[in-house]
Amino acid sequence: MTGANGLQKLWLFTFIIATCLLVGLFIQSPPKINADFSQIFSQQSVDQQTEKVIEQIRQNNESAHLILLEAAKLDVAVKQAEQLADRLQKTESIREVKITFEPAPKIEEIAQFYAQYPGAFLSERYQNWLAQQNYQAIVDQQFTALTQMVNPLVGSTFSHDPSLALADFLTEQNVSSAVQQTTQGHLYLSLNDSQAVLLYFKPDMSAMNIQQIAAVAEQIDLACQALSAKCLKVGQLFHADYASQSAQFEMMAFSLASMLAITLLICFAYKTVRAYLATLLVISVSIIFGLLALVIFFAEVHILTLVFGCTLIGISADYAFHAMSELAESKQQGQANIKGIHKPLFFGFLTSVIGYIILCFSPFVIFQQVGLFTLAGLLAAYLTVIVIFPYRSWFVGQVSWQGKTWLQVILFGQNKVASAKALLILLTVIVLCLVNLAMRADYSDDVRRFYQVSPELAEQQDKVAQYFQQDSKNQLADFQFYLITADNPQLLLDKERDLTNKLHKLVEQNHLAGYAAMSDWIISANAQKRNWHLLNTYQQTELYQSYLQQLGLSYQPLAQAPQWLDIETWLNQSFAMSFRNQYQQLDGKYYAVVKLYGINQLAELESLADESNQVLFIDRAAKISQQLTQFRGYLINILLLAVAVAWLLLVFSFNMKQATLVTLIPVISSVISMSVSQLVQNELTIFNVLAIVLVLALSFDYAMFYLSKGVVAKVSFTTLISALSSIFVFAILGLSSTPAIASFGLTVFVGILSSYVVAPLAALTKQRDVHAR
Amino acid sequence: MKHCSQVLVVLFSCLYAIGVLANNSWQPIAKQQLKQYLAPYQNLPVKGTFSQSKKLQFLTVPIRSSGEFSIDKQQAELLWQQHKPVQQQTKITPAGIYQQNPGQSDFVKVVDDTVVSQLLLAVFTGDIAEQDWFLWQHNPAQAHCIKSDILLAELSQFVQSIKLCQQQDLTQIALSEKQVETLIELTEYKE
Repeated sequence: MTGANGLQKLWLFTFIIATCLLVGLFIQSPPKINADFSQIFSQQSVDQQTEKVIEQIRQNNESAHLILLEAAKLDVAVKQAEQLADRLQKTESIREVKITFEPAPKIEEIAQFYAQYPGAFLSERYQNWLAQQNYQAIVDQQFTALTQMVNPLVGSTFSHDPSLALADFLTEQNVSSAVQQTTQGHLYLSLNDSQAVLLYFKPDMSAMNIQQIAAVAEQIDLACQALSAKCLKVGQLFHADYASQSAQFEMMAFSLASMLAITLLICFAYKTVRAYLATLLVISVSIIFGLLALVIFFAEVHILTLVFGCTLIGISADYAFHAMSELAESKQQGQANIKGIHKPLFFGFLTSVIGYIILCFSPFVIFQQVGLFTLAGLLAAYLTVIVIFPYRSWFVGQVSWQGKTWLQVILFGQNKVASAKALLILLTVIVLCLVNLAMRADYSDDVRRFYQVSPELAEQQDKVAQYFQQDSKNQLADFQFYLITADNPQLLLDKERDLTNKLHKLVEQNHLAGYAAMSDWIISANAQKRNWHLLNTYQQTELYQSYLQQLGLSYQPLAQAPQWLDIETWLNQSFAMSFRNQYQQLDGKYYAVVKLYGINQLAELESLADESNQVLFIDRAAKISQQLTQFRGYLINILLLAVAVAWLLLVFSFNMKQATLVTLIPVISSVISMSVSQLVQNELTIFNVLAIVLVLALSFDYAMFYLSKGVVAKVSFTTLISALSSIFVFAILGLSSTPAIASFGLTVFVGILSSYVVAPLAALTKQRDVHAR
Repeated sequence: MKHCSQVLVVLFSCLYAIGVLANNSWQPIAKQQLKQYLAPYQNLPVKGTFSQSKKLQFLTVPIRSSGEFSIDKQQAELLWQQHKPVQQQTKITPAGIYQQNPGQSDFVKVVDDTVVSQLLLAVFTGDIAEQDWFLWQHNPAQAHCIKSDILLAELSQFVQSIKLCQQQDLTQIALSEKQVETLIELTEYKE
């Protein structure tokens, strides 16, 4: 025990290399810390090319940021918007700051444009009347339009198209929706007695790390504070900033609280600076190796991984506590070593490894990162304790559990637990908990409820939505949309038209408030040709001639445009500007997006996409939630399987009775913690199930020590210290403002508490030794 | 002397022409007089018959329509029942313009633009003093009429100006659109 052996030298060498590597990687290319919550569960669900298009659409949507400058008077709001725009233009990482927009297209200009394509565009009802040769209905409609009190479309199109087919088409498209309220080029919205001027900008989110996001958000905040108008902010940058600020705060608070708890526990239990330094060494090594694994395997690390990662402090400290207690005891018996705890320590470590390996193979990047970080950290902590602690008796603390009255009380209680009677009571409790779970457990894996949106931002977003809703022409689109794929633009328009015909019915049935699709404004060349033929046939009828005579007009043959309207020409028009992001071409494929507004019946919309494999209903949040539900199912099955495998391993290493008792402890703890979580939260989530991985690992850990050593003072003392350190950490996690972390913390907290209480049951077959040292 | 009288004739003619022109031109109504000028148009008939004549730039004959109307000032709703040339009912509310054709059981929204319906409602219900999109003018030569250009750019795409006239039992509302002139005559039902 005086000179370092090969293993210890190897450990030291590996530690030095790992530290240098980590420092080098941090200096060379520091890992990007991601604070975007929408990216936590990102998972590819369609083919790579389509995924690329979806990602591009997502980036386009998310890169657009809005600030509404709200004031009682419009001129004040305009002035303040101009001041803010000046400040933002000087800010790095922000591009395309816009407060003035192209002059809004006039109804007359839109009408003039379509007049170049006579007969090509018909409203749905006009087309139906023509197809059914219900010409009287058309004449009635013509007189209805002509006698309407106000109808600018009649005046704008009548000279080109006395049949008023174009006027009816433009009326159906609610053509004035392309026209917006502007003052000196500024777009503005009105709500009650206030006016809001719109400022638009695009931060380069993909190139920004959390520090830069925070800096830009702070600059915007400062600029807003200097204004008399109120800033209403909408955009990913503000949410990412809030998420990173709160996650960083929690990460710092949880780490400090864990370290403080561990320091106090060491002072209370081991009473030496050396014991403290030894624990600190294990924790530091585990964090270094955990971080190194993350940096090597992931280009981007999510900030939530680091928050969850704080749990590593508590678990790795456990190994140090067990080793220090064993060293102290064995030293008093002659030679300081930890051979006596090799077996339980190894089994405890093994069950943790099984738990975290499951996470590494999950389909979600956040779970992979948490799994890998903890796995690498635990391996390093385990090896440090096994290899380094026996190296010198230096690590031994001044620990003594003799003559401590409180410990005697605990031992007395634990001996009561390690009895057949207690086993029966616990089994009854389990049955009750299982009944509670079976009857009342309600799972919700809605990804939108896993993180908390800043109340201030949520309020501002609601106000912005109110402004937009007030103006029925400018509503905010829902997150869900349709993506249509085709081999050429003509097919694309035909497919989109098929879909919008069905969507139109859903709007009539009030399942949807509205939608925005290109094919309402432009149809394929073939469809335009068909329309022209239908209208031309009508215009040659006697009924139409009589209508013209009543108006004092003579018949003019329907002209045919030299070429039909194509997507590119249409998209170049200013009134089609808002549709430019809804059309994409990639590697010979054509894509169109149909935006949706005010969804009331999600299932109906999903079923429309099922009718064609070239129409995808993109509902990222619902898809992720669905995948999480699926993963939760797999996870529960894998956990059951892992418990069965652990039981089998224990049967081979011990005996059937001992194996069953040890296995019962994690099962009891898990069922109790799930049941309590259900009672507290009402709804269980994937994070409660995920917490069970940790509960199982730690419960096995405690149970193994009681199985190996029995209910003895040393084990009781050490498990108390280690449970306290973990309980403290997870109780704090339970207070997190992020619901996902809070759920996880609560379940682990209750789970560890239950494990600590029921773990002595593993010693049911052992001789009880209340007075043992 | 002959020349002198000629100069005087020309001078008087010019003065008369200026006077006539001045009398015929529309002048903004001063703020303090606005109430007095608008008063007669704030109590338009609430129930009666209408006849409408629409002149389109490219048509030699105006398009005429007629029917009945009723206004519910409390509900801010105008019901326009057209009998000729085609039967149809139009309902104008602050939320938009709705139409019901024969055979249809419900009104269907035909104009989503609330500004148009709000403008028409303001005119028909007499709520024309508060709206800041009006600039009311008077013309001494047409003492029984007032006129306003529409100041709101968004609204002027629909209606450019409005003229209201009231003489004895007849109320006239003239709406000017681009290429379209609409004249509506309202006659109140007598009790």
